[in-house]
Amino acid sequence: MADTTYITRDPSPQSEADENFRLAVEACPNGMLMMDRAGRILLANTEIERLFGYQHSELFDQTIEILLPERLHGMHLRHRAAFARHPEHRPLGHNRRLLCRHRDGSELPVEIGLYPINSGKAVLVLSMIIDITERRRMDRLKDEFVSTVSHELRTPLTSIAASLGLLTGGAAGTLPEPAARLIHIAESNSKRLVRLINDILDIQKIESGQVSFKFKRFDARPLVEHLIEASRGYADGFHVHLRLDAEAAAGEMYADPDRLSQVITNLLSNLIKFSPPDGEVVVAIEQHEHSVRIAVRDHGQGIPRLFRSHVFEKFAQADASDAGQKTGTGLGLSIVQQIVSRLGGTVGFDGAIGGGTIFCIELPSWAKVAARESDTGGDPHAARILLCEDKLDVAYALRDRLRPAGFSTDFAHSPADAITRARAIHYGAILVDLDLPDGDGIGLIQALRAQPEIFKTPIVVISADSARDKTAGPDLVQLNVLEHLQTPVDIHRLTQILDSVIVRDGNGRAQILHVDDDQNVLEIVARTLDSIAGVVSVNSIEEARFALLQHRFDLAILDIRLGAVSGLDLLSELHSNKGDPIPVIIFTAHATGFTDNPQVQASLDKSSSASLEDLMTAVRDRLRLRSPQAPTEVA
Amino acid sequence: MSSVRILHVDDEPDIRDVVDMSLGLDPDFEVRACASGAEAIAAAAEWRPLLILLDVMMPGMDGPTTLTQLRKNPQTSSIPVIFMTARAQTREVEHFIALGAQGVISKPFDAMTLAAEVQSHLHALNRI
Repeated sequence: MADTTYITRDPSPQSEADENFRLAVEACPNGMLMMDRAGRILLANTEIERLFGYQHSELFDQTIEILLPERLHGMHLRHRAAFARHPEHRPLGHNRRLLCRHRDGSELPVEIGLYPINSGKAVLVLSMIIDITERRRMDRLKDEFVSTVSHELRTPLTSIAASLGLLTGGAAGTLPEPAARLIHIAESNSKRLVRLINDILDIQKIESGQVSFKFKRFDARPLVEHLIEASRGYADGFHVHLRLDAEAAAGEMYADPDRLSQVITNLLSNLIKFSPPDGEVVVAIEQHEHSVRIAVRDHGQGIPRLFRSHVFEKFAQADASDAGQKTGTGLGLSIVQQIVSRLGGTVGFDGAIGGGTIFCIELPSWAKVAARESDTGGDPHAARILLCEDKLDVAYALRDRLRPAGFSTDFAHSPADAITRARAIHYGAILVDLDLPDGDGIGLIQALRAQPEIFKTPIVVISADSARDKTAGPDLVQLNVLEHLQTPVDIHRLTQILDSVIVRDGNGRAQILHVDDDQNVLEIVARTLDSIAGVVSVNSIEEARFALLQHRFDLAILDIRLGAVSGLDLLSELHSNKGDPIPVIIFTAHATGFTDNPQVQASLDKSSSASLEDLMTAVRDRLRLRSPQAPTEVA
Repeated sequence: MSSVRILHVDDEPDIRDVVDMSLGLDPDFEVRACASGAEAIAAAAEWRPLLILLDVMMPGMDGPTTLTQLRKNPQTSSIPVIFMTARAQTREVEHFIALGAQGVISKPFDAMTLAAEVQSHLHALNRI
């Protein structure tokens, strides 16, 4: 690219309207930053100065990383590169949180929104920044308050409920009839208070993310059968008949069975409560391709029209003047909705044909979850790895944590699946959980190593079982396993290992940066090297710097004369994401004597007739050196 | 049958009273109450109960600390401990079991069935 974009560095106001506009930006209560494609700060308003302790002039022309803690720089550069490839509005209010660094070194939590702007001359990015320190503090205070109050309330309630229980149970002798009735009212209301406090604690824990979900693969039917039996006593109290629909499917799904039990029990008790005496509550299970549908139906009066939009709201209860005595807390369905949403499903209700209400929960089927094996949500340019792991929650967690490091992770849930995938797709590396269910992990690695296509692919093993690791140790070395990591996996260590062995680009090919100001040379070299590597061709130092932010390179080919500047100026900036120097081949018109720099692998004269062949050989040599099977890299 | 000694530890006097009455519904039980962890450690070593019912949140020495101390003393290390707590969610229960407790009874408890619940814990522990 020959045209360079210049941004006015001294935006002197040209009119009153411009000045008013500037004042509005300065007065904006949110931090506003404008950056160019390479992440350099072009504009910062007063709120930014206040938040970060820098003057506007100090921030100008700095890259945005100046406002981040150093440990997050690598991650942020990759995020920024990904954003530059796919710039789209990422508005505030989507909980995009980041930890920033004040000038004094202290860290502050912020929420950010990103808005790409096309100025006509260049693509700029406007970033809105809100300090959320106070919001976080309030959230924490609220959580603590709810938790403390609920626990404090339970202590006196324990004494009250126990005393009333002993009285109604006759532990203090027989009570006269009017007193017994009053004590019964007091006792049932103390129980209701207990449920209310439990529900408030539940909802607070779910909302504040304190509840962990343990996902696994299971059939819904046996669980529902068990829950129906467990609720039968409660239903008997209301003279309501409870049954499972005769045609209920197995409902193979992927969820947290304990939490799903809580949901179904809640729905059952709700519908039982509002059923007429001798009514019936029926549970049906339908298996669909992508979902499992669990429907609970009553034959009650249905939900009043005006109340329908409030059913899942906290403390919402329909006017129940004619629904008999109510014992609910008004939180049950709100809890149901929160849990179902965390389980990745939906909950709704409808009037049933023939009267009554049907509550329906729809959760992802196992088949649907298993089909998400291929990582399609990540960066298409990321290095692709295969994870052989049967525990989907572990697999998803690992995929999520590897994404920001530039890896796209496909799953295989069984050894057979792993071999099929690894033969079909060239993976940069394969991660194997030793504790696979059908066929052990060692067997899988042996099977993988027996495939010619996979013979050399780097393999990393993860496992929880340290005792077995020791006995398995020698096998792993023989099988050329690169490294053996304990769960929970140290993600930093894992990305280090993967970075050290994976030759990058979308197709698993090496990536080369070529800097030359002669367009013809750029084109010829790109065509020549295309068979062995991906080539990013740039014609200026500035473009090279930007490319370095966006891609990872295994090798750089530099021309020395780039107009008025020297390509050697780039040497100090050519570092991989791990901080290692990127090897360099000098390819220039007058190549002599540059090989004293350890980073420079070769120096070739591009004017010589054999230059392209020499370049090809030098590139091949260099990339072979970096190939993953170099013996020194095997742990 | 000889009496079954149960040591109950709770800083709330009212709860000590209702637990005493609830367990008193079972004539086999002989109940002694303590108001603090320190008191409980001394009483356990001296009185040798068959089971300890231990509150979790107490001022001074809390339930888990009391349990750790009981486990350190050879005289009390093998006495089973059941926590009585308002924090009886699955994860907390797992945590208490990991600490070395034999079970958890959640608060508020059902006063009329508390004695039976304690009996079933004792049966499960083969103490009776």
